[in-house]
Amino acid sequence: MTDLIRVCGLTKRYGTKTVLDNVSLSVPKGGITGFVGANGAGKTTTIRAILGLMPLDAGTVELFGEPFGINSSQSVNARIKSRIGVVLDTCPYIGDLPVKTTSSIMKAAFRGWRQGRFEDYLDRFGLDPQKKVKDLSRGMGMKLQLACALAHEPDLLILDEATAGLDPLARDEVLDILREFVADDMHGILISSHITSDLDKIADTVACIDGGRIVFDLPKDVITDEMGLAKCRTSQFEQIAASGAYQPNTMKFIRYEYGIDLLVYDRFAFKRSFPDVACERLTIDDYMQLTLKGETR
Amino acid sequence: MKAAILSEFSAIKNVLLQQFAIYLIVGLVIGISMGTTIAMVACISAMAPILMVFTFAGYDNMNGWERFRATLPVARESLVIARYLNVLISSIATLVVAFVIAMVLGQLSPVLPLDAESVQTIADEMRHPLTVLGGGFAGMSLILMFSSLLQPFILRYGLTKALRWIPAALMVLFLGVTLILPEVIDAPQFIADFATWVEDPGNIPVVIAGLAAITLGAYCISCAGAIALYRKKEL
Repeated sequence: MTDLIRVCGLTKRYGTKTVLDNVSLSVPKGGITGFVGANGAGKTTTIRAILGLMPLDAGTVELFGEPFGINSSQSVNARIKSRIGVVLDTCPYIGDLPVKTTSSIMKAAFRGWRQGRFEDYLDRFGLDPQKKVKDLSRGMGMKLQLACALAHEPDLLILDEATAGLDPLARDEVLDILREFVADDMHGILISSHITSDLDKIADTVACIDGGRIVFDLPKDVITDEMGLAKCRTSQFEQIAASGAYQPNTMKFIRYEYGIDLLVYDRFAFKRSFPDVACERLTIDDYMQLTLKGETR
Repeated sequence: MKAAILSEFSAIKNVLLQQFAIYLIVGLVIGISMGTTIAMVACISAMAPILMVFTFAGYDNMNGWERFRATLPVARESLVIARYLNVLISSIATLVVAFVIAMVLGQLSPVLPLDAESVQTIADEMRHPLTVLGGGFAGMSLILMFSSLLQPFILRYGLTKALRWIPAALMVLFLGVTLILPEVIDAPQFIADFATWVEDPGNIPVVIAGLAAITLGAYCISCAGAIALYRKKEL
């Protein structure tokens, strides 16, 4: 089945600094890919590359099975971008204009614009059409972006920190909308977020970028259902290390003052082998911490 | 292309309407104080292109609008062409508005606080509306040519950075013209001859056609250059 997004080997350099290093990523139909990483890791740069907002030194971007880039023709741009809803990390609409004028701009740009649908989202989000964009809070600005992104009935949503600035209730509401969106098997979402608990709730796959390189790209269930986090004392840690349960260089752990957090690849097998060691479910945040900051043995 | 033009025009529609209201006031002030409609139409028509260029450039700098605009279903060249067309359309619309204000002023001149000489001047101008239009067209064309110089820089580097480059570019252009022009024509004599020739209202259509051709030529060359520069811009 064709992926909605398939990027291979994206590389971008500024002088001697490599900001994207052989980045590969995909978003399948019916799936939500969460994209995580620290500030400046390359999430927004990757999204800009996918949207053809910057020239690349190497790599390819395919959207809906079709090559796409900064110099794609008008017909390719119209065909591909009309199927994408974009939410950027800050509300990008012209501050002096009222919310309703934003819809006029979007209506002119998108043939599939549904004014009624846009107005429904404004109602649902409690957005005043007369209010100027510059007077919206960050959270309201993100909701307006989401309303605009959904009102032209896209097949793919590309969301850069879409839930940032939203209160917990509003975040849950947005996550519900995203779940509704991917209920259609032809739809897909790429969502970058610092709030990994949101991705715990909705992502099917999680990719992590660090220093411009993808450090892991795994089904979320593998992280949250199969893997675990063992809370060990030093003696237990040494016992586990000596048991041969881990291949060399696969033990990932973080030392704390009163113990060691150890990444467990198979939580159930680990519990059978080491019943005295507390092993809890792993979150995306735990896995990211262990992968990016942990020691390896 | 239509999507690019209309989406950008939607953003400045209200600005344009506000400007028309301002032009009405400015037009009446200039027309009454100077006692002429030709100068008034020329002034307003000359203001529009540069105001629109700066309005669009200001919007581009606002909240990352330029980046978001590039995510809309339009290609980069369409974005640039739409920008040029919107500046041109807004300028022509302003010329029409200024001309209408002049005609209204002409009709109202006997009841306005004008001296007899000014009333007579405006009455004379009303007998040659094409001259009034020609004055506006000349003002608009000159500034459109100036904006042809500005826009590629503004689109590629943004307003703030472009304003650092533009004085240097203008200086080079000015030096080039002052060095080359005397080699080609006797400028003072040419200007004197042209002024005499253009006083004949029958020559105004020729002036308008000539200015239109030169301005559109410069505008198209500028647009092509801007497209080439904008294609590589990182957003």
